Amino acid sequence: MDHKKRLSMGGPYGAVGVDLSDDRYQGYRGPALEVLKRENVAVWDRVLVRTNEQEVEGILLPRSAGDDSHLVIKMITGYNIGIRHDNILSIEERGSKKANYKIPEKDFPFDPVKPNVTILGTGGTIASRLDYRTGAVIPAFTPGELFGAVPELADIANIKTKKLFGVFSENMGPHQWKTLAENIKTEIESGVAGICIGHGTDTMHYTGAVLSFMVQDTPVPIVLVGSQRSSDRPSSDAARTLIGSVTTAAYSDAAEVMVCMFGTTSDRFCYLHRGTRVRKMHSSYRNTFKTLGDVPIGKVQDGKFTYYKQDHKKRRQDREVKVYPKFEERVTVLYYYPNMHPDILESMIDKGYKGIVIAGTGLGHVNKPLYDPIQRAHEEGIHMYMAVQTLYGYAHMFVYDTGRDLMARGVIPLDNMLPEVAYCKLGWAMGMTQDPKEVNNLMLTPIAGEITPREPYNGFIQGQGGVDSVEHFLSEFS
Amino acid sequence: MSVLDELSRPEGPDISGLGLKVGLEVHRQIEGTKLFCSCPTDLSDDPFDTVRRKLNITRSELGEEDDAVQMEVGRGRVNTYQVQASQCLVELDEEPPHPPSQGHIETALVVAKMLNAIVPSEVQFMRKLVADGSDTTGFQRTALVGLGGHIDVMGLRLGIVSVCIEEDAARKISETDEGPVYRLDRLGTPELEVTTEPTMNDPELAGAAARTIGDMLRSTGLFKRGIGTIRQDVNVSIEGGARTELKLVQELNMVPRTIVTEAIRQHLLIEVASVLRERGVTPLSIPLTVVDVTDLFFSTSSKVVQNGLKGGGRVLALPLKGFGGLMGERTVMARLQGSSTALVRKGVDDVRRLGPEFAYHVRVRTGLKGLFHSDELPSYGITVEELTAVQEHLGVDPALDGFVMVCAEHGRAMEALKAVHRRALASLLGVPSEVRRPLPDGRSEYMRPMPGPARMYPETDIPTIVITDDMKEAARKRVPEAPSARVHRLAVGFGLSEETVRSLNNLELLDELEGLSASADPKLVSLLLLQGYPRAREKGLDPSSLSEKALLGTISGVGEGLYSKEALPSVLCQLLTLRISGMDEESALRDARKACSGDTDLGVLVEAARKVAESGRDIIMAKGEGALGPLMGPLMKEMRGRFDGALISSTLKDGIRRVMEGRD
Repeated sequence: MDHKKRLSMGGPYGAVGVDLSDDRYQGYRGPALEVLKRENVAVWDRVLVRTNEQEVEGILLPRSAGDDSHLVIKMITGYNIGIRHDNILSIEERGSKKANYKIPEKDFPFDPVKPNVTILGTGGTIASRLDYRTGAVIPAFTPGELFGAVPELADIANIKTKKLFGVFSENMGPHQWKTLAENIKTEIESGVAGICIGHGTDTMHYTGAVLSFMVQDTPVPIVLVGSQRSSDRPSSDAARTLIGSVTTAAYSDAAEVMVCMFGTTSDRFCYLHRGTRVRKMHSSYRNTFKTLGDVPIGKVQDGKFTYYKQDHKKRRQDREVKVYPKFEERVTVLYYYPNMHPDILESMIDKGYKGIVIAGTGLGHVNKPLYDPIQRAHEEGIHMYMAVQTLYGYAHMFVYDTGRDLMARGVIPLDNMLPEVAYCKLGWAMGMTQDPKEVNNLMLTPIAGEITPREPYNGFIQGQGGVDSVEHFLSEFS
Repeated sequence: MSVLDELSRPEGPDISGLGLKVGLEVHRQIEGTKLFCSCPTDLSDDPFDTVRRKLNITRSELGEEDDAVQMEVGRGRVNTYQVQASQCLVELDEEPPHPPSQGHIETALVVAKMLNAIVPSEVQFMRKLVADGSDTTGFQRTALVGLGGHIDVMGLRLGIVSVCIEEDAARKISETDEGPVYRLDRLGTPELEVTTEPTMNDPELAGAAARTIGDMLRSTGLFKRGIGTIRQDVNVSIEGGARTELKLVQELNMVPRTIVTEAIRQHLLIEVASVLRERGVTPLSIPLTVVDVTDLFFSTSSKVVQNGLKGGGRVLALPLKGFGGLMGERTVMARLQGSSTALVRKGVDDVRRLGPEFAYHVRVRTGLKGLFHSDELPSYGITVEELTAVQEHLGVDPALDGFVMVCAEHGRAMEALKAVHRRALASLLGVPSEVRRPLPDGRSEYMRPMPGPARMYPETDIPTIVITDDMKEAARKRVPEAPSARVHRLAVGFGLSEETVRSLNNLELLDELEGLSASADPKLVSLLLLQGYPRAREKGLDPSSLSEKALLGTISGVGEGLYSKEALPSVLCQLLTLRISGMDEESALRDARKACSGDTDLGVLVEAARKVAESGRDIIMAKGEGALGPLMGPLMKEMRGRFDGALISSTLKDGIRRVMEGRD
């Protein structure tokens, strides 16, 4: 486990990144750095700073912000203050003690009776602790560290961890997706009861969609999990989503790619969302993930599962899984807006994109000026599919002339496939084959719930509750 | 010195020899929006939704001593939050904080400058862990804006350690079995925390310091007023004792008394420790040997025990060798007999020893409300025979040893006695360092162990704030005149006594004095404020709701000869009463002036008093001046609001005397 990396956290509420390198002047530059050199002190030193107004004793901390004028001192009271370089008369060193970056590590207990779960790490930390002396956040990822941070996990399963990459989730891409798929195959074949994937929440639903296509007919649950509040915060949801997801991986009957995240703003339960129907719908709420156009697969609460529709694929004992780690990178999304000029689409064609998902308005529309470049794209063999930017509902392109005009120019409606899912699927499908007919066949054949034959009447309003007044509001419609 | 002797002194306890050290933390809420969002800071009774959360936080993370309750504090307890329309996602911990309001930061700088503190050139908000759930985030955001200042109090220089700007916690509504219930209306309200050096050795000085700091903050005009907007935590220690933090002493005049009581409590605990040492008590001699004595109470007539047993409870007892006479207040009070009046006067009538401490710990740890200790038995229906039986069963010496007994479900009773045992062990060392909650009578009860060094880490969602020299200079210019200087200036300027102006200062009415006196006679203004405002407030009326125009209109009635200056409080109350009945201000003022006009004519009152006295001739003949009581009612009914009560009474007295002397 490599600690010498800048830590990163998923979700909108990140934690401070701490440079764990041996750099004596971490983050300092300009005049502030000159002072450190002049006074021959380094970060983590215990120092007495004399200024023209006062004396301040404390620990010299690394700088994380871009400022070049202030030294950051953590005083004995715990407060950090910045002292401007030109106020400093002298700095006296009084010893040095580096932050303790070790979480009290205990051996994760192995219980032969309990199922084995592998946690794959893509970046960030799932759990962490603080070093209060310096305020540094210490990551927890190895089983021993996880046990130290979330001891409840040992009551659920035997845990193995495997760190694949260390990236913020916006930096996930085809390479990471393929690596994940391959590792999932290895883990399944090694006999695990289920797999968790620690993931930043921003693009978790993209990864959920891609893996739904790359990993088919899994015999075990594959559960994406993250947190909306970084795990160094007392109010973090990380421990509970982790407990929910490990429980799901170990015991759930649902053998699908799922997202396991908070169902309400209260600490009550986690929803299990199908990887192809889930979307992050709020920049900061805990229960940001919603299943769109359907109800979630189920929920996990206090170790118990509730399945809402019973249409999920069931867990199997065999170890057979189909893995297709393919992705065509020259695929894009065109998010239509009124008054869009044709040159946008022209440039996509010029730049060699081979597949375009159009996120159209309403039932699946764009304006007339785009007809010509769409015609041209069609003639050049570019795959064009229509998803709806309303997110809810189906593309119905026979209703208005515009829809019919677009279909005549080669645009194919994707029913109720979400635009992001359509992007993922088109990339995957074109990675699998370049044959237009086969791509089309793949795109229109539902593989993992990305197109559903019908939308339940309550799909639109489900999962928006969680507080009494909203539940009451919703109850008036049922 | 024996503190018991001191307590017996008729002039009250003298604690000057105890080595008292007191420090203050004064908190005052800043007026305006919340610190990290634009929500209002008014408390609200609007409908609410309920959100339930747990915190991932452990005692060890807080640096607190007790690992035993780690899980209880951590994932076990459910915090319930009431969230209303006037709060947003920031309070609910569903959105990162917005940047702090510039105005609030400026306020903090003004105060730092006013207290002669040094302002850092870069300010960083920190997260200070708070385990009790009163912050939805699990931490309080706080930043240091001033270091090392000083103020002058009672002619002495008092050091200021720090000035911090922080967010207030959520308002606690209730406590349930699964955890506390908070409302989010107060969460995030900006407040300033001023911490003094812990060097004060005089309770009165501490009280004066609290008042001085509060006054200085208020004089900026940037802070909230009223109940709950200012509070002080008081840190108290005596020689050989330990630092105790008394939370939220709201009433300023309670500060000295709370300190005296705490100093005496600490002294008694030190005495207890020394008695225990003399008796040879060590940790080894008081093992955790819990004995089930339920069998001795099968036919008890004690209602408390009967009820406990009915629910399947057991009676468990913990022998405490050498603790006899050190738990109850009864023993102490016996020694104090005859001196209780002096003690009552000084507020130390209840000299608490270990008994109440045991009870607090049991309540905090298990929620159980009661226990029995041997010093208070026989009592609660427990007989001498039962007491003796327990003592024999435990093998304790009635003269020297003690025991504690709990009647509850077995596991809970066991937990309770473990808490007692832990506290008994601590008593060997004297005074435990802890956080206590002051009670309205000056005493205090145990809340939690003293947290270790503050557990703080940077609030990375908020960028650091560079404080430029220009900002410091601007703040310095906004420092208002010191309240003491202002009192002096206004007294001289308006020809009022300093006493009068100081009283107005204590009522927080200097702004009103200064404002109204620009257009009216300061003497009339001070009369209206000093007598009218308190009387209106007593009646639940709010004079601050009136415009300056209405107040001036009230005063001008005197100059116009409508009523006497003594009538001003009545006119004010009349005006406010009409206002809350829904009348607009202008009409209310007109009617109030009219209703009270003629009050200058004392003849009306004298005539009315004469009539009442005449009608009560029989009573006067029977009771003499004692007739004042019965006759006052009818006259008050007639004259209330037009004349002052004291004036009505004295006029009636004259009338009665006239009847007695046969002058009518």
